[in-house]
Amino acid sequence: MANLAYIVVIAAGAYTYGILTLGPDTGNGGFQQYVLGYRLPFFVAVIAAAAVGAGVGVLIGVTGLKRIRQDYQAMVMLVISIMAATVIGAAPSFLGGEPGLSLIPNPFSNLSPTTGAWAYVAMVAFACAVGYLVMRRFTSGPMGRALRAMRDDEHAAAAMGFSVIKMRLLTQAVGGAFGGVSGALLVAFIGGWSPGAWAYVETLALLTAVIVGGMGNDFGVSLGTFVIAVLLLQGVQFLPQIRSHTGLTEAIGWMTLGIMTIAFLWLRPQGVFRERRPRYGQPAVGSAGGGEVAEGRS
Amino acid sequence: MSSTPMGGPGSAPVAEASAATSGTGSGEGPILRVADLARQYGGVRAVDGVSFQLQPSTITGIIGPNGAGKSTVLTVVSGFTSPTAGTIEFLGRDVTRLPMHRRAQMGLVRTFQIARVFDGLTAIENLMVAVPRQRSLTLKGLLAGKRYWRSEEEEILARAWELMNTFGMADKANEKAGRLSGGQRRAVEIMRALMTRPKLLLVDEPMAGLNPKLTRELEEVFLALRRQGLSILIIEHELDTVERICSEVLVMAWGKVIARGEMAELRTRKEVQDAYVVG
Repeated sequence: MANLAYIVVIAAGAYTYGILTLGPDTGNGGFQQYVLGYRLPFFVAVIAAAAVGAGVGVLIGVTGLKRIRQDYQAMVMLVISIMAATVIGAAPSFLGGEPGLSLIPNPFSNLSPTTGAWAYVAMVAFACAVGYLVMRRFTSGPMGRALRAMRDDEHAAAAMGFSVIKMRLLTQAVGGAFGGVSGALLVAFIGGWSPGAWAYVETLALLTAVIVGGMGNDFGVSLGTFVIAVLLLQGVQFLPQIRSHTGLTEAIGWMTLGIMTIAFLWLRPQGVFRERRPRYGQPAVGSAGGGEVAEGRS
Repeated sequence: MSSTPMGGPGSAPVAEASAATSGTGSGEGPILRVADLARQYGGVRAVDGVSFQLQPSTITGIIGPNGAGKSTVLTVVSGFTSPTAGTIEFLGRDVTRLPMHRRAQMGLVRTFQIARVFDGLTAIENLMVAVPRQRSLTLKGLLAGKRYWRSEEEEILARAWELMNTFGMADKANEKAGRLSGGQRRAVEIMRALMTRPKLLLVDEPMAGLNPKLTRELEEVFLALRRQGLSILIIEHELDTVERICSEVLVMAWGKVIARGEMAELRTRKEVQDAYVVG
């Protein structure tokens, strides 16, 4: 199922980090309003963001439990995404409303701007590496096999004894935790977060990253994320601005994204790196349990 | 399906494959008891007061004209759809309200009329994924990694290869299931069901699309599985097959069971002939 509400868990992580590190909303002249308002250490706030992301992910997952076709489920997810941004934007005293939260502290603010920025890059790179390894636990081996089976045919999986609901909610929780952490890391760097930062087009950017990189292939998705979210959408900021058409360079980024989505769905729907499966060799005659022989990938 | 035999009568591979089943484990009573089962879709009563029992280690057939309600019975018994009325007991336990996956965990496993395989997995992975309660799928398995589940995985792989060899599909084991032919997909689905160690297997038109040779081979597989203690409820249009492998046959028409008995005797019954001609 395409989770078109994934940006919501990223937003949940970002807001969680914000309200847990900003301190009381009476600070900074009280120009913004939000709930809680603690001043927790960076790592505690990131862990809390992961937990909230997981919880929100499960809540979103619950909506998909109804037996409806997957394309309709995708539409429900998209609507959730739009509704969530609208509701948060309309409640200024909850999470800052439409202007959102700002002055969210950076854990390296005591360093010089350049040193702090590179320290942050190093920390995020480390988090990505750890995240990749953790994700591999889920997507490779028997667990990955089970998740792929459920993706291919939920009814057949249930007929084999799989609790599809349990598996789906587990997937949503794990994905939500990852989204929560990514939101926290993002907002701690850029310092602000508002409904405009998580419009549904952001979800489409994530979806494009998966389509371009290759669905079901961890490396491909990582590459797609780097190309789409970093090189393309951030890279356009470094293009020369055209004075007569303010914002055109940013629009070029989104147009390129749309063209890439259509082009890949038409010409290479499996993405740059297609999903590959391990090959199993036949156990030698007389061997105890038969060895798992990965001869290659198909 | 490949031209390699699936395993002849009493052949060693079939005997090995049979070990993939877990027997009935139900003692002396019927393994399945269905009472007054009904399923209504809007104003249509697809199944209307069907009752029957299945004894352990038997193959029971359901036949009838198109639209008789055969597949609906199987769908409801497997838990894919809820009944409008009636009760279903499996191994002495009322499972009427249990979801499909819980019934499958108890050993009540079905295949589908149009074979449903996991297209993105290879054929052998389709089999490996079906083994219930794998250590690798637990939280401990996720945290501890391969050390915790490697030996179990090797056993699962060995069992999967056994079945692949039995069904003559060893050469297709590492092909993605989505690329297999219709007959091969059906074989993968049946093997996958056997990997769950079922006590009762519900199969919906397993011979559809198979040539006569493969049909006979699959019949031998079913007979061998029955000898090992597996019970099978089979919906089949191929009446010769039904006659060869089923000890009891239910004839359905208009959502009801209109006759039951041995196939040879049912062929002579007027109400059965009428149902096929009229229904």
